[in-house]
Amino acid sequence: MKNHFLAVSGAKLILLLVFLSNVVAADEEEIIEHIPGVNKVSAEELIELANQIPELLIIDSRIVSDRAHGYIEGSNSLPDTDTDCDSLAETIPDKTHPTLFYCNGPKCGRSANAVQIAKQCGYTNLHWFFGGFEEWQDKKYPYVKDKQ
Amino acid sequence: MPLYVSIKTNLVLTIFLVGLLGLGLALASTSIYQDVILDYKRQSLVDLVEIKIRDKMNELEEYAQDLGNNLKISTRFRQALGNNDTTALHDALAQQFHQYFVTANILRLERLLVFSPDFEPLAESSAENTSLKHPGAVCPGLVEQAEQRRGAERLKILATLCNNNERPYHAVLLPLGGLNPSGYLEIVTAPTRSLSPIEDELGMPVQFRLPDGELLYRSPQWPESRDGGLVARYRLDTTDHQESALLIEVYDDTRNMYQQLQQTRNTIMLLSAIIIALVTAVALILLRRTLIRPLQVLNSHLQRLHGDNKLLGEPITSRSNIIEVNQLIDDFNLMAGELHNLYGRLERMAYTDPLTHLPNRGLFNNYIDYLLNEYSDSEKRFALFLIDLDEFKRVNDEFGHEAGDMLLCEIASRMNNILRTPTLTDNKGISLVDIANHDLLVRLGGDEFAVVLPDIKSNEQVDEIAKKLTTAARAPITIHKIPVVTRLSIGIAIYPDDSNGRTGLLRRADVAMYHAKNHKLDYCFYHHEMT
Repeated sequence: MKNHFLAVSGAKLILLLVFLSNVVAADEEEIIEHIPGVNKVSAEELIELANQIPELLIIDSRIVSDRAHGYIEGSNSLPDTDTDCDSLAETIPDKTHPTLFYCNGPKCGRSANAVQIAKQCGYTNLHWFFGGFEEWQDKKYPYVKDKQ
Repeated sequence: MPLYVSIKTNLVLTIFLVGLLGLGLALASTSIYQDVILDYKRQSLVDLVEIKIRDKMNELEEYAQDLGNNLKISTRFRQALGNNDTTALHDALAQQFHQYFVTANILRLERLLVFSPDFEPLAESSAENTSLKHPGAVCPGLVEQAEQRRGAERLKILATLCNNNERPYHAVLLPLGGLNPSGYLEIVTAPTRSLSPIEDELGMPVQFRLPDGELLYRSPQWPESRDGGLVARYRLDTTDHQESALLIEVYDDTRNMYQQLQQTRNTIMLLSAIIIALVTAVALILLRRTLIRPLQVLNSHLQRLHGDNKLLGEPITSRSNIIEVNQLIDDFNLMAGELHNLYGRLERMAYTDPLTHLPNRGLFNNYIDYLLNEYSDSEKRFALFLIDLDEFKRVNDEFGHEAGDMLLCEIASRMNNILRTPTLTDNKGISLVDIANHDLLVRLGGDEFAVVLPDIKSNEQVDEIAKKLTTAARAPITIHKIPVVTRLSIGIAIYPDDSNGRTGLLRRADVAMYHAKNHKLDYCFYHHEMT
């Protein structure tokens, strides 16, 4: 009986340690700063790009609740969780169409994730706004908010 | 006229003056601290107001942006802008004055303007009761700043606080039409409405004034009288800091603080007074123990000396804790001792015959007066002898003064050996009390001597002593190897039988002496028939 109790307690302890180590690992998850074959841009470069390429497609990879706080005017919502080759094909006219992804900021990871999926799906003209909505707001660029 | 004060008064006055100075300093320092505290509080309040105002200005900017965003996403506005339809644009703008931000009184919207991408005015709409007197851009500087921008900068939202017709306005310039601006929207508000909620956040009444003093807003709680209150003033400048836009005043009721400061000051004053009183008391006790009491002992001793110089040799035994005072007492004792010895020697010299070393006429008179005084209330008697040396003149003439002196000394010595005379010390004064029970042999002058026999019991006793004296004197004295025989003539008077006064006794003894001399008698008692 006693041995059984010790065994159960030991198992619980090991589970707790495993859980804690996962939490620590998640906290220390490395921020992706470069994606090969993808053009990483700043807010200003994004605006220049939009002026140079009027057909530039801007995709907001954030979830809907984050987008409700405001978004870059003219951007399309496609959360990274819904991003796959099919949804991308529905949004982007062709594989060479200039497309830019952004999310909340460097730590959000959603735009990096979406860009990598798009790359795997064969899209070649990809741009990535690494600073995201955080940089956009900080630099006092205009954004729009849908009515609640 | 010099002012004479005691050490005690001096010390009390000094401590009192120092205390008064201390109290003055305490009063002055509390007053200074009070001013410092008030300044500090005023500055803290100004800092706090600045933070609150900055927050409110940010809030105002955000609300203005939200209003602009609402307008931007309205289809009517977008179409009007796309079609460059200024009438429709004006209508869309006018509609904003009925939107939530304005109706809920979150913003005091004054004017909305739409500009083309080249900043040509396309449409504007103002509030019905606007304070703006002229149409067009309210903050021209904002538009000028926006015109000068190039590239991505043209997309940035600009905000400013400016003066228009000497009144403050807040303006936000928002780009329209996505990443390639198709125009700009200027949202102009009166900031006073958005700033006034700081009265609730600070919990203090506020008032806003224009730089020229005109009142724009005043909290209902603003006091009629500012007595006991503190007013902190913060000047809100225009964004370009060219001029003052608004003067914000905050009233803080500091009566409680004043009361506390007053109480603190009173406590400090009371404590200071108590400390001064304690210091004075301790200083006086110490002074009394160490200085005043020894000095009083010294003074009292001097007073006693003044009355009785016999106390001169008596040392002061009182000691003090102060070295200097003890030194003074020691020096005084030393000096008093020396004076005592000197006085003794002087007295001895004054009452002594330098040739025979017998007492002289001075002591003789004092002694008789003393006995007369002492015996006046008793039945005691004393005898007075006046003695004349018969052969003195002849010895002087024949053998010289030295021989005469030798004769006098020898006779004095012989008589002294017979009598119970007192021993007189050279450096000690002569006390009549000490010699009162002794016989007194004195040289009155020349060849004349006198004897006083105190407390005689009978005339036979006197008679016997007279015989002894004459017998002793009759023994030959060798002068310059020649034996000289001399004799005494003694006249005797008895107190109080013959007289009860010194002069009377002396006269009667003198009469008796001449009687003895004339009748070749050795001695003779006075008898009234002799006169």
